[in-house]
Amino acid sequence: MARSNHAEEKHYIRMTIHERIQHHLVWSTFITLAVTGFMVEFPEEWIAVFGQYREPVFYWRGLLHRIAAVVMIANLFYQTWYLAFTRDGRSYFMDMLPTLQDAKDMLFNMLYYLRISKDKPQFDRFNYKEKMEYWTGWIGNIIITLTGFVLWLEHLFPKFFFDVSILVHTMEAILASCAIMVWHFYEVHLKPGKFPMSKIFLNGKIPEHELEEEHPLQYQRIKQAEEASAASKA
Amino acid sequence: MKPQTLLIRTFVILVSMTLWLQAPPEVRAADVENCALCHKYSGLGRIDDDGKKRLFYVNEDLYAHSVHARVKCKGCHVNVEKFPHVDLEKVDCATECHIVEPSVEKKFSHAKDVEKYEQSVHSKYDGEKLKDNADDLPGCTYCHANRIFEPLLCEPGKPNTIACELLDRCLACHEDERWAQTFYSHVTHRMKERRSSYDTVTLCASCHEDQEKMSRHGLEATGTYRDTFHWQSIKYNDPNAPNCIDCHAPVGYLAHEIKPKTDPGSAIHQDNLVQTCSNINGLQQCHPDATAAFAQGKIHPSGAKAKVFDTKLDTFEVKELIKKGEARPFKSLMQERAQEDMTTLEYYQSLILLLIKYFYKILIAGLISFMIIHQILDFFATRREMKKGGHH
Repeated sequence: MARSNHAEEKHYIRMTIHERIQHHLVWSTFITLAVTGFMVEFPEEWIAVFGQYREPVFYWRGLLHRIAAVVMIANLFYQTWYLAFTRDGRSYFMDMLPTLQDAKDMLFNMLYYLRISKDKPQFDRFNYKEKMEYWTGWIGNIIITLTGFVLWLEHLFPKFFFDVSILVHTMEAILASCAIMVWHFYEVHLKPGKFPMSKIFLNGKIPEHELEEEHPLQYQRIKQAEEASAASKA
Repeated sequence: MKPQTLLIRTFVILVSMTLWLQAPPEVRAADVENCALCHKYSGLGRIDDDGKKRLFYVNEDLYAHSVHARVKCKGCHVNVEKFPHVDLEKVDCATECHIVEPSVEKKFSHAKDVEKYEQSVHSKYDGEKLKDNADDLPGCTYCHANRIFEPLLCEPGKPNTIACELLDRCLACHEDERWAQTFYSHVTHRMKERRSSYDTVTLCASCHEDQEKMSRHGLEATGTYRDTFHWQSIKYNDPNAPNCIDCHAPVGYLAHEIKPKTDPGSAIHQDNLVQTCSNINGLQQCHPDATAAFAQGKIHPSGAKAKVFDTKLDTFEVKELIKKGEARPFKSLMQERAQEDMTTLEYYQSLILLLIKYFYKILIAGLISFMIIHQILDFFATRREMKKGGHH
């Protein structure tokens, strides 16, 4: 991707400070939870690596998993507050709602990938990939939180609840980890032009050419608004 | 390391080893019967009438440090009278050995333990009658070896324990250090768990995970213990992690007297389960808030699947084959057992669990495959765009 005049290129805000803090909390707790969680699924030979430290490792594993879980759940409430009570949050929520257009976009994008259709679908602020990830993230988060609490407060429930919870908790974790690695890591780390990573999650700014290319409908709206305000000033 | 240094070190090690091997004779158990004359040779053995290889070598040094060090060979191998040793009786742990137990001045014997074991589910006898497939059942030596003493030790680098002073206190009166050491070991050896949890599970599982062996006795093999959190924490050496004994013979029960779960004297009998899970009387309270609802159902079954998949596996032909002994009765026995054991509620519960499992397996396989294909296509499309456009 040629980036002439990179230094002078205009940037637009893609992630507000709230969204960035929420994202940092999500990724850090997610990695902690995945590592400390899958540690109880490791085969024996891997655990042997810890040698004489197996016992403290196991203790800290459980403690860290619970701490990270509490932070992640708190972050869910933070995000709910953000979506409901701030202007940026409300617009984020409205733009994130799935529409029929997203289903069409997905279909036509696949056709475009397969070279059946020549035109690439024009995406708005959030494309179908981002919406899918966001909403499945919410669903997964709620499921894993509920089952996690059953496991934590095991004595309050019949054993059948416990059996269901441990199964769902593990399966959901496998699903979420695989999805993040395939879907999200490709999109923001491995995709040609993005490697090693998209910087948006750090500074929240998207370069103009990237906005125009990846979110053309949003870009057009911004441009029209800019022209309108320039005209009204003049 | 310089070659000279290596040489010197090797020399020092070799010399010290010789010194150790030539340790004063009184450190060893006195071999008054002179059995070691032949049995010290590591190649001593033969192939017996059943074609089984037998080894008759006894490592004197190991024996001298074992729990039976003070028992003479003939204390257990009772009728060794002549050469070659023919018509030997099998060693019986209930034999009175030639040690006089000092507190009651009676000859020592394991007869009491054997008696308890004979009444347990593991006994080879049902009253006077030999049980079917009695060879499968564990005798004393299946679980117990002539162990090396593992007394409480004062470990350098660890906080001072009573062990650091204990032997000194013994020696204040019992001046013979070897004598004191033996009895110190004898007593403190028993203050430790004899096996790690890992080894206990390995021992029990050597039979109880063998589906064929279990089906011969109408039992369900342990199917899912290694999927449980209990086993995961044993792998990490967590001191609170329960092994087989911790639930099947907890405080107040004896491992020698393990009873079937239908027996009210079993720790896993329905009436005793809450107590077993909570382990209120134990040093370690496991699930102190356990309720009857928490302690219901199966912990590590494999029969659940047999019941859920209770299709027409047992056709008439298969049953005929089983009768003739040409087919293994494993599947049918498992199903019978599962049918007897499971209530309708448990049946539907395991059905739900299986459905959830398959739902997730299909969801994960389907969704992740779709994602991988989608992203690969995206990769090539993006490459195409970059080649074509160059500048956006």
